[in-house]
Amino acid sequence: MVSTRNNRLLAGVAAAAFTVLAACGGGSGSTATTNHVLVIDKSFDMKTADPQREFEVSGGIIAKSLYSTLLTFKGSDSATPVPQVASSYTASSDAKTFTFKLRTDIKFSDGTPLTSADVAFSFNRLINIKGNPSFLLAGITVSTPDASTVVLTSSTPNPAIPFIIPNPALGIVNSKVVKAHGGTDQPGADKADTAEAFLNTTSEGSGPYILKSFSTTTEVDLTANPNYFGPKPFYNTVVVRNIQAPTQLIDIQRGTDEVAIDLSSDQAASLSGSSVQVKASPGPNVFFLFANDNSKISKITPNKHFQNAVRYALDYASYVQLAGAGAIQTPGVVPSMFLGALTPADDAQFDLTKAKSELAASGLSNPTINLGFPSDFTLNGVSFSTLAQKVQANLEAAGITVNLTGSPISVALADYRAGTEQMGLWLWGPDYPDPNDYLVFLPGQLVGLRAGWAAGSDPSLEALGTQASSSTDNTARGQLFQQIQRQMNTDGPFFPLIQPGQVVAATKGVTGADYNPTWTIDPAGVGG
Amino acid sequence: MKPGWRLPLPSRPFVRFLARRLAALILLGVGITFVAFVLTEMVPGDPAAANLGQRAIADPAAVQAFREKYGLDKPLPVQYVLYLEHLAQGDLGLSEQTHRAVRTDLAEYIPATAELAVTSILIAFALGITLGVLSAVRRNKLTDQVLRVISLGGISMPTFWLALVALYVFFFKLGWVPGSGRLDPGVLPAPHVTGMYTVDALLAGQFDVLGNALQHLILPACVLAAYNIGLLTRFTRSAVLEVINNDYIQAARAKGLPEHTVILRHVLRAALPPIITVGGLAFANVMTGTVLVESIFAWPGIGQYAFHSATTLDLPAIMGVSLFVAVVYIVVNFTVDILYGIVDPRMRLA
Amino acid sequence: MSAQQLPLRFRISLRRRAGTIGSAWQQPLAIVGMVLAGAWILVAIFVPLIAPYDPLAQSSHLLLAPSSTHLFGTDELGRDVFSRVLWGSRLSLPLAFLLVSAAVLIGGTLGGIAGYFGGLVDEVVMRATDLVFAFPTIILAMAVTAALGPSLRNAVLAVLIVFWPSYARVVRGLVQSLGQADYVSATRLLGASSARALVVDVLPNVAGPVLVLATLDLGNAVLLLASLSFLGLGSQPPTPEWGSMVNTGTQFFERWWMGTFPGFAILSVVLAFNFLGDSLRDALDPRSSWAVRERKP
Repeated sequence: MVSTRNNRLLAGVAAAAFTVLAACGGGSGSTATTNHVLVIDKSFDMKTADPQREFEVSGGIIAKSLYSTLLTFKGSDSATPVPQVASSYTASSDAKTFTFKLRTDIKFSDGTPLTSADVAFSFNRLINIKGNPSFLLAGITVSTPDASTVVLTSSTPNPAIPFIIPNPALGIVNSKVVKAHGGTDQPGADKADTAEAFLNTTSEGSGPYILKSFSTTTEVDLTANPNYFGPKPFYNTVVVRNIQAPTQLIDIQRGTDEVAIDLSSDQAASLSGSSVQVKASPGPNVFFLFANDNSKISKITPNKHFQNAVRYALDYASYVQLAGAGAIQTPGVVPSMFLGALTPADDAQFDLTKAKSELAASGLSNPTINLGFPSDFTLNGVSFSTLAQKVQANLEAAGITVNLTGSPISVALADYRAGTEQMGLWLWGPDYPDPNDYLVFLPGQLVGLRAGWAAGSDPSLEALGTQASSSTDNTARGQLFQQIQRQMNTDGPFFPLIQPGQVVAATKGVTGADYNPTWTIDPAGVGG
Repeated sequence: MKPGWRLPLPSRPFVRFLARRLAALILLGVGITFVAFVLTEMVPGDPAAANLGQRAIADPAAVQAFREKYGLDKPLPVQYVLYLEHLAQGDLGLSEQTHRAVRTDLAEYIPATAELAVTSILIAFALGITLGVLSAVRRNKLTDQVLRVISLGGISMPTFWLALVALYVFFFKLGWVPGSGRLDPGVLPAPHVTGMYTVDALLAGQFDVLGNALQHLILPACVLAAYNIGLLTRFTRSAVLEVINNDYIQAARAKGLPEHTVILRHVLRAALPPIITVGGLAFANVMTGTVLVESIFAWPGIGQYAFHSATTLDLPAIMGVSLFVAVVYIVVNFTVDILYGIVDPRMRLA
Repeated sequence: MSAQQLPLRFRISLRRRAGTIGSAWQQPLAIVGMVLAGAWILVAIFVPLIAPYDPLAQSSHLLLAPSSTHLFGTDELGRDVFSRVLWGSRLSLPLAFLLVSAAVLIGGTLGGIAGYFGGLVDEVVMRATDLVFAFPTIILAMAVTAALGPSLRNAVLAVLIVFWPSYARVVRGLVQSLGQADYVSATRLLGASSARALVVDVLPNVAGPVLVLATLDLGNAVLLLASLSFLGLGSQPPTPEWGSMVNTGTQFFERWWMGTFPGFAILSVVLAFNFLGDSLRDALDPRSSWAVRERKP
């Protein structure tokens, strides 16, 4: 008797619950407008919507949509900057002065005309805020001879400037409004500027979209900017959602007007046969291994024969296989799509016999080293933990014992940066699409120091670096960088591994979802 | 008012007991924040390294600016005292991952987790108590054995694994529920009253939003409830078994009352004290579960905030979460103590 | 809820234990639990003979679905999942036993001392247990492993820190109530030392509930270790630990075999221990279960 009563109670509750769900839910929430909504699935790493402070992948997508830059790239191109806010530009022959002529018909989202004062404000604010992207304009002074001219003067020759300008961190903000909300471009802005909170709720730019809502953990909503000077985007609402890759895979198969950015090549492969369009191409991130050249950190790793042994012991093809479709072995540290990149002819070769003989020539017996890496980090579908295990297996086959000493990225970064890792497995993502960004790998430079490659370790290489960085002829510059990388590949402690593929998945009917290394995806360029 | 049923007015000794408990709990709360502070300081790793870009890290000016902004440049004891000072004014500091006040972050994430937790507990209680009573009444029969296996299964299952399997089956394969988040993209939540989308939608009369929110809520809530259903079934069963053959229950039966009245009115009330105790435990279990479940379902709550803070060394956020944990512990325990006192006559007169 | 005041009912039931441990084995669930646990223990012992492949051997056959050559398929580095699941038992089982034994020893000793001597010692131990109980288990364990560095050894330490208070509480409560029992006073009056009274009179009565709690905690230990490894705070690659294997399975969602089988392994082991513990509890005293505190890992 008791049981039937309880059973009936249970059944009643269940029935009621399902009725409510069925009646009220009925599929995705209905919005009674003829709005075109684009959904972009991306696993968030962003911290802010303030363009002069953002320097993360997801932050870049937002800043690109809200703010315009002087120059830009078309589609997925990174080789030819084209005018956007600037109508034209000229560079001096010594690559120290760049003059930009501005368009006069551009208005911000509130209708205010855009002038050179806004450009100067934005650039100076970027420099003085001392945030993540501030280094982009290091050594640059900005001047404005008139309301539609901006001149950038660099203290050292900097032929990369036209490639730096399209970065969303150089987005132009409405200086009057930002100043009124606590923004400043004067020295001391790192303490005095308080406009970030304001910019995280309201965008003050001239880009194709304006900010409707912003959250670093859930989603960011954008709506079309009525005062935009360019062609009206197809999608007048854009929702960028924070979703992890496995859920992206599921969502994209069931959604419409949706783009997913973080799928790995393996996940993309499982989509073949469905209506989802998948584009996989080599991405710009270079994953590399290094051996510490500093004899204080290890007695084993600076040994040149040891380094050669490692170079031959790595089964490069298996890393490409691990990374999946779109990935390539990278012959040097400059990614394949940039000026100065090496060709597959320069690929390092896997040769276990040579590896063993080099190890024998090194005079080391039973070498054991610690391999540091970010254990919780995955990019382009490749997990560093997986890669590290592969490196361990490869080196063990050659006779080198590897202890995996990975830690969460926040901890591992500290060791890497301090140059105390015996061997490290890391990556470099381009700050801007130009080989000058890769000078950091040279002795005495940022990444070189992390591998214990001190200044003076290779004077000829360092001289080449100085020459290449200031060369004003791009063809010559490209050849110099190729020479640099070839020398690094024989003498240096770096072992470039792969450029994992960048996969962009889009639901049927979506066009123009092209990947660009500078801003990942441009929602304004996507059509339906 | 039924004869023989006293109004549960608190007696002096009980009030004193509650006051002592409250004081002890608050002291405990302070202790928790201290332990959290010490633990976070012990973590190797530099918050600056975790939050600044590769290039900015190399710039001493940028690192210094970061440290000053988040108060990391002062010695530890000073940092703790400063933290307590700010806390007294209601300022919980600035989060390094969201660049907003920690208070704002908490205000946003707590309702999300609360919504999930409360729903999960309601489901757990409804199912758990019902199944427990059923199990006790049908002791040692087939129903009891089957329910025993199910409840033991519930507490044996790794929550993170259950979440994965549930998502795979119900979302990926069957498409019965949406995959992530609290609402479909493009659906706006109802005007903010509590922060819980279901409640707000109900209050505003927006039934389509309510339905959408419920659809997103149901699977994570059920996954979270699994462990507690198992737990409650077991506890209710034994609690009911303890009283079911007591003298006054026999007397009630002898009076001719139908069995279900006996169960519902007398047995359940007598069995309430341990069930309330478990209720407190259930809350703690749910808090544990949210850390694992929220990331799988992309539910923007305290659990995933806590995990992100731990992995990015967002110290102010970690302290904020510990504070929240302490407050929840105090509130839940205190509520349990009060309820216990109301329900168990012996406690009142202790 | 504090175990400070055990109701009269429970104290009485200690005297008239409903059954002995022997009767536990006759329950059908206990038999299932025994068989399952026994099977896993055998696997853990004989795995070098049973496992078809080296759990660390990588191959170029990545992400293959289950087949006749690879019963549970292969993972992202081409390793055989079946072998890895089998070898995982060599980690989870011994560690769980070690953990619970250590927790019983440390917690039981501290609780016994606290209960027996009372006063300041009692206060200190109880406040310590309060502090540990206040944190949701996994958050405290997370904090400890993050502070000490992620490794299996530190995860074990973290779980130990989280487990010992339950035993301290239980043993303290039991010792307190027993300490007032007549037969213990009698022994003391006869001149026996505190230690002797503790060991000879109190310990046998404490063993029962502690044994039940310990058996159930074996399952919790496996779950908590797996959860920590799932979060990346426990075992590190390439160790074939079940929790971290489920974590990898999350990243390869559509390759369902990578996460499902290790998860089933965890489930079956924990289920086995829970069946055993539950039957034990039923045998020892079916009605006193709620006096023993249960915590979720």
